[in-house]
Amino acid sequence: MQDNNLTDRARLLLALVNLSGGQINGLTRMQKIALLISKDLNEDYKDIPVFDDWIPNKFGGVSTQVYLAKDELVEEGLLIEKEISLEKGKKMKVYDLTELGRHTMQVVPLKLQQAWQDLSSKMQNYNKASTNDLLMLSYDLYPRLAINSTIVPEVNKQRVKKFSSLSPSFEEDIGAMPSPQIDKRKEKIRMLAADEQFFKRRDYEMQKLPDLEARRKMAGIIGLKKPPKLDPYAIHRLDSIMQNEIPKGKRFDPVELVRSVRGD
Amino acid sequence: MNQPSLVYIDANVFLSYMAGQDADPQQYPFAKAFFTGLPSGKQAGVFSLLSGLEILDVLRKWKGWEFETLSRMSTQEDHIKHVIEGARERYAEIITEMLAVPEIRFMQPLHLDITQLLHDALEILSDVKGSVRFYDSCKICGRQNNGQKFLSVHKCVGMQDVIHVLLAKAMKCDAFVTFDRGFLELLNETRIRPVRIEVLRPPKSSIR
Repeated sequence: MQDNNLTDRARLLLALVNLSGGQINGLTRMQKIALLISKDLNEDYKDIPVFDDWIPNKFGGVSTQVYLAKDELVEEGLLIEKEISLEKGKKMKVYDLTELGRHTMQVVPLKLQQAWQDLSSKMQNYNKASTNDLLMLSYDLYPRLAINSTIVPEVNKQRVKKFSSLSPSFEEDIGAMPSPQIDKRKEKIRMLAADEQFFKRRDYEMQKLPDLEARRKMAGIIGLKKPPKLDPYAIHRLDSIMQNEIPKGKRFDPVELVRSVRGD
Repeated sequence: MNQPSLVYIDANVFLSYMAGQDADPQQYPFAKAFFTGLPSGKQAGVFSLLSGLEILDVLRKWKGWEFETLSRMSTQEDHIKHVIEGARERYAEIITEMLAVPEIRFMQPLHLDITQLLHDALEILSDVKGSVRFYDSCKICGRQNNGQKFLSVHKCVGMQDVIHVLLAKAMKCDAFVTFDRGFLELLNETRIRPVRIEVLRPPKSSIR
């Protein structure tokens, strides 16, 4: 089967796209759905790998693992990424499941069946929400991930608009989220807010930025369009990779060599 | 899930591993043990642009030593092209392989205050005194003096060394790993905390 080669996180993302009706509009929406679902799943299914490298970015929480999973699905031909033009010159990426992707999702491993069912019911709630609603929800539930957001004013503006009008659609949206679930999350926020030590640790973790952007930049510097695919055997290919470069007859001492280029 | 600890890798450790056993029999086994231990997930290696520039510089230096090839070329332009482009091409090949290694991170400091970093480096350097050593032989000219010392050298951790460690700190690395024993001078330096200096089995030849 095709999906035997997929990483667990790519399989999870594939399931999220499938449960979104086979299409996700926008990378921000994809990231927010992945964030909310990962946090939910992590509570109920400790042994299922979820996206867990969240860091605060300009649109709130962002995960490099999501990018990598998305790239993997595109490379495997399970997902199509296309860019569409919006008004005011803006652009948005749209992700569509391919036939192969749909076929791959038909077979769910036994151990994941229960989790997939739960995922399906959670996704029904999120599918009803706009991207802006998902942004609001994620900012409310995970405020630490919103600290670098540059769109907080815009999100708040939408929030005020929504709350002040109290439109029927707003009430429907609230109705879509079971209230015990909201209470449970509020309690969690309070617990997190009280745990200063945890935040300190999280800050430290967040500073350990995943390196995807730096990897992309480095690839650009050496003339590659994108970084090569990660390969667990690549570390062995680095072994002795420079052996033919070393001038014959010259003594090789890496410490002396580096000192010399440092001007010591 | 526990994050792996981040280890900033000094250029000499990269060079030893990439040069191989034959070129560096003394240190390579330790470099190899370090790199092949990374996939365990406990540690992730950090590659900085500064270390990358040093590796490129080493490649240029080596290209410049290719006397036979260079002497067959007639113009200075060809010489420079051979050195610069040859080194750049090889560097790109090496970095391409490195980019495929999941356990090596290419992260850069998020909010690096270069003025503050240089200020810290200056303060550290003003406190690090180093030592003056005497020798009975010279590695550069090859002179030997039968046990009689004739050469004195001031050995001290340098500006670029300090900048590397401060970069490691800016990138929130847990440790800085090197073969250069000169970094031991920074072991008790509070301004680089909490970065740990780890010298991989320091060979005597590396003592400054």
